[in-house]
Amino acid sequence: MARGPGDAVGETPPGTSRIEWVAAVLGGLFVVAVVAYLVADGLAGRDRLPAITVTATRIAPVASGYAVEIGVENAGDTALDVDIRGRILRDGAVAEESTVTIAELPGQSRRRAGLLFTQNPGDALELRAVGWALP
Amino acid sequence: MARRDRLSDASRPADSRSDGSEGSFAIGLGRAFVGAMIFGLPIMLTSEMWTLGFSIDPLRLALLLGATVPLLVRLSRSGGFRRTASLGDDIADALVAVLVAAAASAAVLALTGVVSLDRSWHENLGIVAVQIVPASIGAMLAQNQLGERDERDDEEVYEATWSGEIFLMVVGAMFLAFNLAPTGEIVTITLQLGGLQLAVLALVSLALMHAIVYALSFSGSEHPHPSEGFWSVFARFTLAGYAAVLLTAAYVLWTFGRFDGLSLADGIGMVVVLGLPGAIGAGVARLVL
Repeated sequence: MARGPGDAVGETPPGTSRIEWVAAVLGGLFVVAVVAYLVADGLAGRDRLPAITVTATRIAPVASGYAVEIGVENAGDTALDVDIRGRILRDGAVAEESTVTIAELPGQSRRRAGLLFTQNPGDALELRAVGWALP
Repeated sequence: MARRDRLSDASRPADSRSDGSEGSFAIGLGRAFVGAMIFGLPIMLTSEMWTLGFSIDPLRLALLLGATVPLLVRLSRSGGFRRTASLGDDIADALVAVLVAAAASAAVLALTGVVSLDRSWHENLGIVAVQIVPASIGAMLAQNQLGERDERDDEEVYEATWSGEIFLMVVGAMFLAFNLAPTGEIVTITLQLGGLQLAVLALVSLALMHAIVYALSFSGSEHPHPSEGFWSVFARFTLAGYAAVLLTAAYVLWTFGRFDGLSLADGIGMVVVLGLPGAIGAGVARLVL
């Protein structure tokens, strides 16, 4: 029992206990922090476009050929249905092409995906995002 | 309604209610947690809400969260975890409800793998934040529905005021609108209905609302004063209430960005479609809240 000195006993409704005030202050801080963050994010991000970079993180042989594991990072605003294209370029010509679509790519997020090729892409791999939809 | 069907004082175990102590606060917290789950789970486990968490306009979400606190404070006046003596207590309860709502949402979404370390914290925050409104309303109502009835409610005149009635309708409408506004079905339904069908839908919503609250003798429903005519009750409560429902539906749809890229006619249609569950929520709110 942590009854404050001001708390009445008996007929009048009870006051708020110290522990509840602690929880209330935490709740208040949470609301203020989240709202402040959202406002800052909202003001900074007016009319911002998705900013997508694609990097190959690993190349591994699989049953059908080679799998390239890619990391897709979005430093801008949320994008949906992001098409990623990987091409193997040899002697200035496209030797092989593969695509993957990422359904959701939120702002400030990273997703992993994979592209499959029949030949080992080695150093001849070109990766890029070719399109997206906005929410 | 608490003031009508409360438990009798004799059935109340002595000293088990809120008395400002840590023990009863823990019980209240537990109830709030359960309330947040019951009211929040359907929305927590809706995939459109997760997408909204990171695609919603941050400023609109900030406005929504900012508006939630005063809404909960007002709701605390009419129910809440415990009987409250002062505005300070109501504010404390409202802020605790927000905290419980955030904790319950984060727990459920983490357990289900929606919120995870694979996502950036920016995403996780948004996904939890959009859940706070329905879950905190649930947390606030938990004591009303799961806990013991409050003898003090007998004396509260709050419920009887016109603005109090409309406020409860708005909360009920907002809760149901939150459940349905994010779904694709609302758009599909809007696009397949013609103007005449939408007009019928609006009239049916209005009739349902009036029937639920005033015509049917549910426990807790309003019993208008005998001297008050049908049209007076209809205009002051049902019609005004339905207008509040439509405004609430429009606000929720706007917050979720559902009007973006839609024509004005389709936007109005969507408000009317969402007004059907909203009107039922508003009607039932008077019975539940």
